[in-house]
Amino acid sequence: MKVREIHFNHDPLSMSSDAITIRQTYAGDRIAAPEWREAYPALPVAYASGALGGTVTIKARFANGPPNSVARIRAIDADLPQTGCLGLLLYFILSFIKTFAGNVLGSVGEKDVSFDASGNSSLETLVLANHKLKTSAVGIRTTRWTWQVRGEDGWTDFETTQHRIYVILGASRSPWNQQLTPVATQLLLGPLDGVIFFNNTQLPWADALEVACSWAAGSRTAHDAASAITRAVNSRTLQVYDTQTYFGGFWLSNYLTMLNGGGSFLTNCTDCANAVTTLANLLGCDLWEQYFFTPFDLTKPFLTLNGDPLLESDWVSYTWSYHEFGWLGPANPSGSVYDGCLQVDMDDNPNDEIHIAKHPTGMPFPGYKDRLWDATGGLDPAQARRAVF
Amino acid sequence: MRNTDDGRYNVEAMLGRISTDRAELFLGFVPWQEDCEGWTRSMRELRPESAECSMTRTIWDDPADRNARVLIDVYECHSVADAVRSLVQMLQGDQLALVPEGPPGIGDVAFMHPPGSSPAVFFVRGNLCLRMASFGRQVVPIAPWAERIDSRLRDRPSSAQSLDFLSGGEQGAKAGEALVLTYELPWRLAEDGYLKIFVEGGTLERANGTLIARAVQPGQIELEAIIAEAGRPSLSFHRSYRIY
Repeated sequence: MKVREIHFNHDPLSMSSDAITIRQTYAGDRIAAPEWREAYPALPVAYASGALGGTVTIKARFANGPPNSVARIRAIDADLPQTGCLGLLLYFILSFIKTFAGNVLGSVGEKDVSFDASGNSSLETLVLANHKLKTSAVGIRTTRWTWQVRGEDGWTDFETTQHRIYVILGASRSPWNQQLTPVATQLLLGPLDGVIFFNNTQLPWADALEVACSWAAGSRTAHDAASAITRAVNSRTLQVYDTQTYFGGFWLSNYLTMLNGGGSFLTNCTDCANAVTTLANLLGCDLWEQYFFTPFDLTKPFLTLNGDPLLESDWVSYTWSYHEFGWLGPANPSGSVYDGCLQVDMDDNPNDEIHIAKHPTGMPFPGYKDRLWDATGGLDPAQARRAVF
Repeated sequence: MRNTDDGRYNVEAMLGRISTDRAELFLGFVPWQEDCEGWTRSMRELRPESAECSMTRTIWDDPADRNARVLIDVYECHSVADAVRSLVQMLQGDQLALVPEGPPGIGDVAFMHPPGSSPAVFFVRGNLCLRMASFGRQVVPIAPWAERIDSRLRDRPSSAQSLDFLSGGEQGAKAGEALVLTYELPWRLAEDGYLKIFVEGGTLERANGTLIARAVQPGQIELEAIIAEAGRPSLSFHRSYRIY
C-alpha cells in the first residue's frame, strides 16, 4: 500500500474546510493540489484559522491496495510519544516544541477505502481528527503523518509523509486575495481539476508567508500579529534608514531578496509601511498605509530604524515633507499607528538625552503624533494598500 | 510612494530645459562592471509591473567591504518627458522636504541628496531616469559614480565597423510631424549590450516598438546610432533624414 497524492487545498474556491490558495513566489506558480505527490517534493500549505468551519478535510489517493477490495486507512502523528519514563519525558518536551512548531493537523480519521482491480483507489475525502488549526497561533508547522492500514493484527504502517504548514489568523486581506478566475468561464461547468486560471499574482506567496509567519509566530490576535510584524520590520539588522523609497509599489519580491541577501540595504518610511501593512494583512490583519503630511518642521528625536536606544547618535530628527506608516481604522485621528520605521521617545522632554524607546504598535494617533511633532499636519484621506510584485 | 503632485518639483520647468533640437535615446542600458570600479554585481533585477518605464536594478558590492554598496536603478522610458516625470515621481517619494538640484554637469536634469543624508544622485539623460545611491551601511560618495555613468552614456566611441539596423523614413517628414523608424538587429545583443542613438536637429522617442523622430524646423535630422557590448568593439552608423 502507498499514498499516491494528498490534496490540502482541494476546493480552491473555499477556505472553510480546507487550505487556502497560495502561490510559490511572485514569479512562481500557483500551488495547486495535490500538494504532496509520490516522488515529488512536498509543497507548502496554508490554513486561515479564523475562516475554518467545524470540519477540515483533505483528499488522498492510494495505490497497491487489495484489488477489488476495501481497506481501512488512517494516518497518525508520526512523532507520537514513546512509552516508559524516557518516553514520558520525550512526550513533554515534544509537546512543548509542538506548541510552536509541531503537528497542527492532528491525525487523519479512519476511512474504508475501496480499491479497483489494479489496486488503485479513487480520490478519497478524509477528515482531520484532533487538529489544532482553529486554536493555533500564527506559525510555521511541520506535520509528519504515519499512514496505516488495518489488518487482522491491528494497524500496520505503510508510509510516512511530511508537510509544511503555515497557519495564519484569517483570510489574507488586500492587497492579497483569493480570486481565481478561470480563463474560460464555461470551464466552471466541469470539475475544477484541470481548470486553467488567470495568473493572479496577488494570491498569498509562500515566500512571504515564510517571513510573515516567522516574524509573527505565536500571535493569536490581529493586534499581536501586526505588532510583531511592526517590531520585526523595525529590527531587521540589514536595514538602514534613508529618506528615499526603494521598493515603491510594493516591490515585495525585491524586498524579500534583500532580506535574504546578506548585505545591508536602505529603506524609508514608505517601504516600512508597505512591509508592515502587506505582511500583517497576509496574516489576516486589516491595516492600511496612511500618509501624514508633515508641516516641514523638524521632528522631535526618534530612534532610527534598527537603532540602539543606548546610542545617542541613533536618536535622530528630520525635516520631512511627509511620513507614512501602517494604520488601523478610518483616515481620521481615531486610528491607531503601526510604524515599523522608527521608535518614538516616551520621555516627555525631547531636548534631553534621556530616551525611552517604544515601538508604535497600535498606538493611538494623537499620542503618536505628539511624540514626533509639535505642529499639526494632516492625514491623507486616501489610504493605500499597494499591489505586490 | 506619493503620486500626487505637491508642487515641490516643477515638471514643466524641467521639461522647458530639455532641448528640442538634439536628443539621446538608450535601449537596454545597464551599467557595466567597468563603470562600477570593478565591484561585484550582487543583484540584477528587472522590476515587474512597470507601467510607463521599464526599470532594471543593479547593486554593486565592494569586494573588500560588504557594507559598501551602490544601487543603480535605470528607468528606461519612451521619451525624455517620461523620464523627467519618472524623476519627479522618484523625488516625491523622498521624505526630505526638498531634494536640491545637482551635481552640476550631470544629465539633462539632476538632483542629489544634501550633505547629512545618505548619498544619492537622481538624473535624467535622454529617455533614461537614473537613481544612484550609496545603499549599504558604509557611506560611498556617489557623485563620482554618477559622473562616470553619465560619461559612459554620452560617450561616442569611434567605430571602424558600421551596421545599419534602422529602416523607414527615407521620404523624410514635414516639420513637426513624426518620422517613423523601425529598428531590428540582426542578432540578439549580448547580456548588458545596449543601443544608444544621438540625434541633432530634432528629438527622438520610442513608441510601440518603433522610433519616432521629430523636428520643429525644416532642415535635416542627423542620427548616430551605436551598438555597445561589453568586451566587443562598438558598431555605429550615421544617417540623415530630410525635414521639409
